[in-house]
Amino acid sequence: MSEGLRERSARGRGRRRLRLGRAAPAYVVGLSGAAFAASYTQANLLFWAMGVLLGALLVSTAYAVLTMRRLELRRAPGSVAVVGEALRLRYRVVNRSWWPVFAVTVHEVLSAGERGAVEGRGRRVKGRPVGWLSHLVGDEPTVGETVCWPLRRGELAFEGVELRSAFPFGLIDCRVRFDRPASVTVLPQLYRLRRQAARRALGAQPGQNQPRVLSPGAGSDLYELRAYRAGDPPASLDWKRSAKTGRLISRRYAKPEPPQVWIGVDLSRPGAAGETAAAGDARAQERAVSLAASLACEAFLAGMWVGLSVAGAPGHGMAPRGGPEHRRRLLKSLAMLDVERLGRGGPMSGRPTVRVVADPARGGRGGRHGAPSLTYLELPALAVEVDPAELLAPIEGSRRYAPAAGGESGPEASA
Amino acid sequence: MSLDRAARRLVFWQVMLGIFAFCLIEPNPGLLLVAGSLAALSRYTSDGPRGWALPRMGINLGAIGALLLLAGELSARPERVVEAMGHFLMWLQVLILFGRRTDREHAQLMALSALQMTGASVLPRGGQALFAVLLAGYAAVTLAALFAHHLKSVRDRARAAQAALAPRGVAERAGLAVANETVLPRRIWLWAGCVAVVCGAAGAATFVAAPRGVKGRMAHALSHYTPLSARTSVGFSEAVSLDGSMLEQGSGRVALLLEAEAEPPRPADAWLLRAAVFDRYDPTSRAWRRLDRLTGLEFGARADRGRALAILDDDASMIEARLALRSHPPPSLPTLTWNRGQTAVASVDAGRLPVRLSTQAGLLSAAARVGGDIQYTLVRPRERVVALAEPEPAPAVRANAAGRGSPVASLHWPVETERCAALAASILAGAGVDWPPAESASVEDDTAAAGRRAAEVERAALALSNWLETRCDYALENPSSRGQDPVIEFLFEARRGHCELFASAMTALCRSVGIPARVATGYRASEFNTVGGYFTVRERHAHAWAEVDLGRGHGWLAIDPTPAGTVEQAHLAAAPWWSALQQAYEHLELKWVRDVIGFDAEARAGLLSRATAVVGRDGPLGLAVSAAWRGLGRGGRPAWFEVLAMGFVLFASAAAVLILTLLGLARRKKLSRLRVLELPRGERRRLARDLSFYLRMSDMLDRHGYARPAWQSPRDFADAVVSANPGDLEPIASLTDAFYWVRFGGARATAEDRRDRRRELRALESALLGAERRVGRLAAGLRSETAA
Repeated sequence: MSEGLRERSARGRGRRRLRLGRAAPAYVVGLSGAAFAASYTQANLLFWAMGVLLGALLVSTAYAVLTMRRLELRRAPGSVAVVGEALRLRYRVVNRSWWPVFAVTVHEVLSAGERGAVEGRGRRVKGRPVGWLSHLVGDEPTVGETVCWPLRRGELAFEGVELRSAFPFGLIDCRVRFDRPASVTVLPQLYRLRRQAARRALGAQPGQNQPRVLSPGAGSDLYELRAYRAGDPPASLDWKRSAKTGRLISRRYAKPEPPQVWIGVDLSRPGAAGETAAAGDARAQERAVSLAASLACEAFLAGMWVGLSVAGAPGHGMAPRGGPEHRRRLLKSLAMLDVERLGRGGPMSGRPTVRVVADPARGGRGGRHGAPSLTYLELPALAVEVDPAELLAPIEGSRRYAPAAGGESGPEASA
Repeated sequence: MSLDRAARRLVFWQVMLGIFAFCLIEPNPGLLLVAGSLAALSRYTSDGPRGWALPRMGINLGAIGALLLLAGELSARPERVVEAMGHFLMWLQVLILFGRRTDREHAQLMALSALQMTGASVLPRGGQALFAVLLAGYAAVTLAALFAHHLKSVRDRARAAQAALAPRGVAERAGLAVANETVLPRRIWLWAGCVAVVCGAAGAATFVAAPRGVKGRMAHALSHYTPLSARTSVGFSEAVSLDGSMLEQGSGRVALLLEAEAEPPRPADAWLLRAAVFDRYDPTSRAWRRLDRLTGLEFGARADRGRALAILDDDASMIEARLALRSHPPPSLPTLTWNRGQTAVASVDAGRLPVRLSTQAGLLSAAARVGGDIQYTLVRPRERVVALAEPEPAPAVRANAAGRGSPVASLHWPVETERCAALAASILAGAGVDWPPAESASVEDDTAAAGRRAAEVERAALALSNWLETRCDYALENPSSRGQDPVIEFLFEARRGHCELFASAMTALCRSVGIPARVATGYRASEFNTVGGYFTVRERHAHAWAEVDLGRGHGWLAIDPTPAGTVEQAHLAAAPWWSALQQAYEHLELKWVRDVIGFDAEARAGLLSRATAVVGRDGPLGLAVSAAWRGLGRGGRPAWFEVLAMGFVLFASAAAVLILTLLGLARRKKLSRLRVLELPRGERRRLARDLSFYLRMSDMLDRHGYARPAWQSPRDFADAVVSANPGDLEPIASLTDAFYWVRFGGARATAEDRRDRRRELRALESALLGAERRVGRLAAGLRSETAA
């Protein structure tokens, strides 16, 4: 559907750091207790126990100093990033040292902006992705994985990856950080639409928006008859017509083109175009973008060519085309749509078949299934009013995800 | 085994081992039955993710019950704090075993079990070798459980972090895929072994190096605490009853361990360890008792002269015997008789144990009753004691014995003396012994006469002993109770009985003819522990024999009239068929008690001083090094040359070790790259030799940017590279074919094959270099065009 993680640099060795592990406080308490009990009772077995505890510290220190020395890490292609869906980040780790590494956790290092440290910007990812590798032994490549959950569409940037191991007793935590900047385009959240209603809105129902014939091709309907040209296959000759006219006539068939749909997105509020959207408006705009992306996917699924026009952002418009590459570019265009830089709601390119408008004033109430209907659809071409809540259909017997009132993704109980 | 299952099982077995060890060491078989059964039951009911789990409320209520039980136990027996705490911890573990177990519960189980095992290790009966074995096994299982728990908890924390990030309800669906999680790596057990070795070594170092101080009150109470089952006297008593007291000493408890350090005795030789001597026979009670007059002859061994009780020849060969009493010692400590010779205690080394020595009775006794095991050493010359440091005044009983006819009750047999005397005279006459001797006590002060008399007394006593040995049978049966004196019945009717009857009869015969004699009791040490090289003396080895006074300056002669062969057979018959295993176990127990449990400041100082003596300047190692150093300077060669040579040898040795290690590592890496580590050794060696060309080719390609991904087979990789570079890199295909033929086709590389492959490798190298040069020229051209 779309490209995954793009690694910008795979060079550079990791930087090692040592820290006290989680078990260090418990260890200090245990060692102190053993030392006190041994000195108080003079029981020889307690001296043994104290020595074994000291040996554990010795082993932990030696292991932490010697381990994770020659690790190589590269990012591996992961899954597609979609808002509200699991983004799987994969890593290929090779331990070039003969010293094995056990119980490794993989921590993705996000940039300060992604972590929400930059004032005025929301987080793109919830928390820090954590993965786990059982062991890394000599020269055997191991592919690890972490999962994160993007919260907002757009470009998501990662700074690096950190491997940690506190083996064998959790006393000393050895950390190796690799600078592996990478980014991924997070696509808008894709709703699971009620298929009948969505196709009715898109004009993909039987009898609507019939396929057009634009060029000759390998169809079954007749496109034209013309004089024979060198290179025409002999099987294409219309012998009856040739006999009547006395010259060779070729028969050409029509190549039907799939039906087209233009999806128009208007994110400017009526009468207040160009103003900064309020928080509620921003949520409505995001949902409009998600609904447009969902409709586009449904249209692609129905075999239609899909065009996109965005009011106030002519650069994001796209002529109707088909194929996975066009779908990827269209979704990426929607993902990179910056609502704060949109111009006043001007005319859209093309003739929108379905127009998605962000208008919190006309929505705001839940539909049949409790989903908020903050996005209103205008369907000028077909003059069909479609309730967005009707589009956001639940899946029988399972749980699905629809925008919640608070703007976060959340489960919706099935009907 | 999966990680979850391994962690669960290891923690379970750690808990089970802890419960078993604690109940064994307490000892508490009832608790072991109940708690062990419940814990084992949890394995079938509550283990695993699908097991039935006790609700949290039930566990809390059970914990309150265990707390009440602890309070009751402490109030009933406040001196048994450690046991009560151990029971409390045990019940908590059983409760948790029945609950739902996550990583937190597993950590709690491990901590509780470790605490309980710590309590068990300070219990006074920790000297059992079985506990040492259990402790070692427990440590190994705990270490493995720690490893598995660490892996599992790290993984579970990562999963929990992922689940916390995921939207509600999708944590299961979006489950984190973790790499190589299903099976524990085999190599981790190797590392666990290494960690165990290091931790054990650190424990041993701390054990030796940690200074030992004065024990606290609790430690003192613990060290003097003895369970009721151990509070039994062993061996012998202050009286010898001929009515079957021997038959009560039949248990297999180890009473003494006798270790001869100077010269290991032959296993067939029996040592007589004398504990008490008895002079007075009471015909009414038919028991031997000590004369009251001898009590006044005992004197205390002064501390500063404790080692100088006898003056020895300078070149006297010494026998040093170390006795270790494994239970509460009786007031009379065993002394040593050897080779039917004179019994003497030349030196007593019993640490802080106050002892008294009776030279008249030859009896070593403890001045006060002490608890716990004790150990002391007896040193005596091989031949005899030359002279006492302070000659004791002749005891009245002996002076009277020397003057024949004096009515000293102890020299006469009060029961049918005439009949015994007649029997003794007939025996002596039959053996050709002229008794009484012609020279009488007229030259009492003459040393030569005393010697002659001692020899005659010894000859007569041996004749009587031989008669008893040959004419009477040894049996452990009860003497008949027909109202007759058992000794008289033994001598004149039954001629069958146990060792006390033999000793009594021997004493009766000797006294009836005027030879001062007495009964001695103790042990007959004949069970030799071949593993440890010492004698093990058990209660069933309790024995009685006679001692005959040879006269002034010659002391008492121990004579055992009991048939040695029959006694030996009786002792051997009592030994089980698994005696070899038992010997090993007892030796392990001895080492555990002596070297671990009983390790104290004195033992530590001794160990450190011995180590210092070995490696110090005057020690064997230090002397050897200094001698070698001095030897280098001899022969007229300059010293710097030897220093240089020694440095070179050391450097060469270190370099050789390093090179061998690196070669081994390189070889292992090579085998790992070829993925042939799992094959048999011979096959591995052949493939490593025959497939080295493929590794060279891979390295060559890797240097030029053609690295084979791990997921791609050699064939696919070769096809991909050759199709991308038609013509130039054709040797890759043929070399890959050869690789398959050797690796999987069983083909063996001949010399011609090796030549061909070397040639192909050279061709491939030149082709790769040519391609690189072409690319370089192309890049240079592009750069120049761009610049233009």
